[in-house]
Amino acid sequence: MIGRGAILWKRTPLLGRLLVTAGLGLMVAEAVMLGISARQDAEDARTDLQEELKTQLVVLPPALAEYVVVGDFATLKQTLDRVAGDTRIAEVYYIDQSGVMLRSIDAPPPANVPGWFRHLLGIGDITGTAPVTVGGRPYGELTVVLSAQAQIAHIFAQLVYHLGALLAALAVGFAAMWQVLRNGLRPLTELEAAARAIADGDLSVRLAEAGSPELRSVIVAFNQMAEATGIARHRLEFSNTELVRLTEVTAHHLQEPSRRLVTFSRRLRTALGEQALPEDAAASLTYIEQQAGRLRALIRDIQLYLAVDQSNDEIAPQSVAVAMGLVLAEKGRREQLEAIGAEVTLASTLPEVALERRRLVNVFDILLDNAIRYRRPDVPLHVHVSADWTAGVIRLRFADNGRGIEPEYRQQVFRMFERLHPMPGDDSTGVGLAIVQRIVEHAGGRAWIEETEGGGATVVLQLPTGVP
Amino acid sequence: MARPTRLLCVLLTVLALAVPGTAARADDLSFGVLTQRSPVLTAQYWNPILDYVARKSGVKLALKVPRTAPEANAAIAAGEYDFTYSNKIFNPRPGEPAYRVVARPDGPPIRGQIVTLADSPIRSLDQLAGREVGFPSVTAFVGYGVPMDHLIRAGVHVTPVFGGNQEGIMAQLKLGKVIAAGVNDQVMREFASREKMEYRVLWQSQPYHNLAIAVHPRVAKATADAVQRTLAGMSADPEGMAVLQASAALVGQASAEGFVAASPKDYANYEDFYRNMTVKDFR
Repeated sequence: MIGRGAILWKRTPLLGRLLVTAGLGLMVAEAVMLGISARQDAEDARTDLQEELKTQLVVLPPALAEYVVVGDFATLKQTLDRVAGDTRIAEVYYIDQSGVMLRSIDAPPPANVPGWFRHLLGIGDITGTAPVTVGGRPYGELTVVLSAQAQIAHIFAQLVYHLGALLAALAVGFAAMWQVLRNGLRPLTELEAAARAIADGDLSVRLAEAGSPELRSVIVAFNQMAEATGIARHRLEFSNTELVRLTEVTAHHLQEPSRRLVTFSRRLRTALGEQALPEDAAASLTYIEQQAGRLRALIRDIQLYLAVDQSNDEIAPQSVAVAMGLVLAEKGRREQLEAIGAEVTLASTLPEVALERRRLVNVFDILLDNAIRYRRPDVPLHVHVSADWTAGVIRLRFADNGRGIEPEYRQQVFRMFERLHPMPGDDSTGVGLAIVQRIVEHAGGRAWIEETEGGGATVVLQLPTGVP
Repeated sequence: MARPTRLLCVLLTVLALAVPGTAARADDLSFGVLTQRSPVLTAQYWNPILDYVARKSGVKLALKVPRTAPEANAAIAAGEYDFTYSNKIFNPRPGEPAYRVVARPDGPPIRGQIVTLADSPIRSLDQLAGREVGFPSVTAFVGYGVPMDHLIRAGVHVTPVFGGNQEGIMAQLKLGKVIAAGVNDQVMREFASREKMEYRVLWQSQPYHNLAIAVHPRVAKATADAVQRTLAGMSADPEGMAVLQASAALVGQASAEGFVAASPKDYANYEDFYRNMTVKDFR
């Protein structure tokens, strides 16, 4: 019960909390006041009854004395009936010296008041007796019973009236508070919408100052924050654009010399002929050719890395199986795989992912190249692509049975230009997994490496199911 | 009122009406008093005296105060009282008990008076002719029988108006509801003293001894004698005098008056009056 209350309270908006808190506070305060007032009324009523009883016991015996003295019991009975007709007198009876009783009862009907209220008030009918004495000689005793019903009913009616007035006042107060708070908190709603707009990238949103002084101060601070963020973002975008442009220009301008370096080193090798070259000169020439190729590969990978952010292609669900088919169908790929005896298998069911097709192809290209590059020389390469998905998330698993990566390096390998244990003849640029990570993160996902069961590395790509 | 409750009350009332309403016990002797004052004042006057008698003589007397003088007369005629303080015992009809006088108040005799307010324009009885004149009741001896007898003999014809008792008609006189009234001179004097009222006496009768305390023939002589002795010795006893003084102060008497032993001879003029009276409706 308390847990449900806490949950309900957490879900209650500020407006509701304020109203509930204020209402409960007022209700408790007023209930205490009404209780005290009712008890005081009860005390007053008790005193009134006792005073009236005292008065009746003083006044009535002389008034009845004449009928008692002459023995006119018929008139005495009529008088007692009249006395009992008084709203407060419930019963009056006279007992003479011989024990004869004359009794009149006219108790008012019980007040329509709950029992707990009577109990709370603690007042009831009171009884008093006085002797009827004339000339020093006792003639009998008069007993009067006063009813508290009228007082109880009056106090209860007062309580109900006050309670009604209280509830009406609370209702009016609530309505006024609700109106004030709703109007007062409206700027918060606008602030929330503006914050969401900023989160969505719209830094132009500004709020007009409104509401209470505190809220105005918050809005001013928010506008200052949005302004500062916009300026910072503009500077960052400008800087980033310049950096990308410089990198692209650099890559572009480096591409031509690197291509010529390759071209002219080949020409030189052709012109000199293999036999005429001394051994160390041939080795140097080979080294120049290899580094020129590596330089071209680096430039290509850097361009690919930069291109991740600049795609304008429409993002539509892409079949993983189709993308993998395109990779396997690339020129020379089949021969490459056959040459090393590699096998690539796909799970029977593969999902679609929200990613540009060419980026998905890039990812599989890089992962397949890595699998080939880091395969175990004595074990035929086997690559298996599978997937599992839960609510909102797809996990693609690209598993090989190669050399694998030690756990402590599995994060490190995603950095730019990071290569583990480079080997002679290794043409890796160290950029591939950085590109994979950038593509996946750009799509709102993330990538990591696990160990393949039986040895090898499994690259896991977690992507959202929807369009990012 | 709920039906069972109402039925219970009716039964209780019937039961109560069947029992005399007194402060008496079963073995008490009754002491019936002719109502000259209000019943409460009468009881306040007599109860302390009767208590004194009981303390001193051992004879317990229960005061009986009838509502009206006719009721008192009827009770006396029926012999209901063992003792009585009345003047309606001097003309017994056949079959009625012959109450015997044993004592009387030790005070001046009473007279019948015809009075009017001091500021009244009425100065003589002649001016009352044809007017309404108040009287206590048709049974009042000096209040009605004696003054009315005089008016008839004087040829002044008035219309009698009755106030129920002495106090009642004196109150009507004070309020101006009657122009003149027939009264007991003592009771009138006490009332005027108590009520600060001034009045003028237009006529007054010969003196009569005040009401007599008489005993029913069924009461034992020893008991009657004991009561007689106690009453006669009351004013000589400081305790008795204190009771008498308190009672006198209560009714506005100038001085406390005790009782003296009396006999039927002391009331011979009563018997004369009854023999010669002209008032036909006096009872």
